[in-house]
Amino acid sequence: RSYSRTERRLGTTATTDMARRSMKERYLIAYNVIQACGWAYVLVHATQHAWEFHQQPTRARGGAQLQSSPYDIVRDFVVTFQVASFAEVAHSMLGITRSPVGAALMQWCGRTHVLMCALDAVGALHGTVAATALVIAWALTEVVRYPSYALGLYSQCPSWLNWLRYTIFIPLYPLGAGAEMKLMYDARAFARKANMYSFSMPNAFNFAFDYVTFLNGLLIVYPFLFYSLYSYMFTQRKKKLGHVTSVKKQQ
Amino acid sequence: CDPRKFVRIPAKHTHGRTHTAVFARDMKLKVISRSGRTVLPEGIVLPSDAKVSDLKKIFHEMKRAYYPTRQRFTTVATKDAPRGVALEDAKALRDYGLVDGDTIVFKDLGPQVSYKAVFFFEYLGPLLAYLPFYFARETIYGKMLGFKDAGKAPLEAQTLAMYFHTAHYVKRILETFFVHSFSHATMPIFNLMRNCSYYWTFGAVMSYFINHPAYTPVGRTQMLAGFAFSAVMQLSNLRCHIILANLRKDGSKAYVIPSGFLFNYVTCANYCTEIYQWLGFNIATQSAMGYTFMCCGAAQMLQWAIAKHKRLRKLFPGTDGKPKFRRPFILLPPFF
Repeated sequence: RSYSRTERRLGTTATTDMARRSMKERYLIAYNVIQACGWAYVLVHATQHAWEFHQQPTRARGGAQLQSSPYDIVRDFVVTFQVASFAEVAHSMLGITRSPVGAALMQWCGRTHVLMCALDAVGALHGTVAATALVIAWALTEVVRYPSYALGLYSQCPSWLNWLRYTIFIPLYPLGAGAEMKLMYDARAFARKANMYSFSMPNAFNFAFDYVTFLNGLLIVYPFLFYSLYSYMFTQRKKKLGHVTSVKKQQ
Repeated sequence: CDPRKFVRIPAKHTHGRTHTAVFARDMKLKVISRSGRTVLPEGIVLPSDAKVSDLKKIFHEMKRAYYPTRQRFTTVATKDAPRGVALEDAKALRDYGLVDGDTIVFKDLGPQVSYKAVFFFEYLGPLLAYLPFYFARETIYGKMLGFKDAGKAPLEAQTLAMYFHTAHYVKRILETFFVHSFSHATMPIFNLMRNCSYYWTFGAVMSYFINHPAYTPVGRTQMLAGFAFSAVMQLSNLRCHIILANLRKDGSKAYVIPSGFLFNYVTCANYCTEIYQWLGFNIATQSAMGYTFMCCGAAQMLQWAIAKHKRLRKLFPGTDGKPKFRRPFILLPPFF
């Protein structure tokens, strides 16, 4: 096969490979790049303001905030990109990607619920450490995950990025899950006072929903869900990074 | 060369090979795991006409932890069969072309529990879970949850619902022991937990809402019509199960086209009557959770029904002397 001048100059076939990609792959690359940019913005701005904001004396934070919380600053981006990530559920439903629909759907529902219902809906929680931790943990994870997907479509994912992807989850998953649980835990008092998302009987369909009970149930189930997801990531890590604790004996 | 290991088969059974003798003797197979690890260093020795069930019995003797229903054997992966061909209990090893020196792949299916046991526990759960909300309503709704009028008498709809729900699960348990014949003896123990959570949770939650002091019943005509329809569907469902149980004679594993009664019109008449039975119950009791339970069950049965219909169409194409399988409906006449 003869190589074009561009290929020889760059020393890679990546650019011509891209030109030959099917539309599906071009769409996926575009999606992953856009998400990566969105979360990069979130990461930069949230971390920039996090230190100054949380350093404020508690007195001043009790009343009017001296400045917007990191969450408030990036709120529009986080909500947009998190809700838009439903596309990943659609991709697996349509067979564009190979991930299981159930897992993708559960992951999206869990995150979007915490974001929209427990955090965004409750103004008093925007300035908490948990809110900032949540946003930064999510942003850090996504800023590694999306570029690795995009480059993986070229089969060009560098090994250091792959390593990052299968290693940073180790501190970030517990941090994110902990922040989510803390937010749900704190949201309950506000949900009870404002009677959020709840309705009672009697009604024609003989159904009642109490959001606080729902949150309590979630808080009980979360550690188990987290454990299964966390251990799944470790087995993926072993597979992808080839880390074996003991050398297999030769048969 | 031990002559006892050799059995001479008379020439007329040698399928045309009259000049070479065909011998039956023991064969030794290598057993590996799916990751390539050797499972039995000394291999396993079997008569060459051994069935797969004999293989499993002898394997169990060599590895006591793996009882036969926990064992799964396949041939080694090839291009045509990337995961190997599964060895079925009733067939002989040589039907798979296995001869002395060949390798087979072992997989541990994990702890198994019998189908009957699973069915019994998953049906006993909702039967029992439903009852406290009906019989101990004052304690649960009054003392524990603080609702007013928790002690008032149950409504007619609530009483009938309790009888119907209980009768349904009693029927299911009796069918498990006296009607159903199971083509698989066991299933993985994880399924027991999963199935029980599903049935027990729904049974309890449905009961909670239907027996609630603030429960709003539908009109009496609608309620009676719903329960009547449900009863007819329950009895039809029982008849469907009896037809299915009598399909295969004498432990044969062959597929038979179900026919008679509703099976002439619907491939999965048993699932059909089950879903319509719950529809009748829901029309009578009208609860969101009741409808949700019906839809979850219907979704699962839809998957099974489509697979069954496809399988029967493939097995009975109308050629090679086989009947043609065709039905106007798969699961839910008149819709689908």
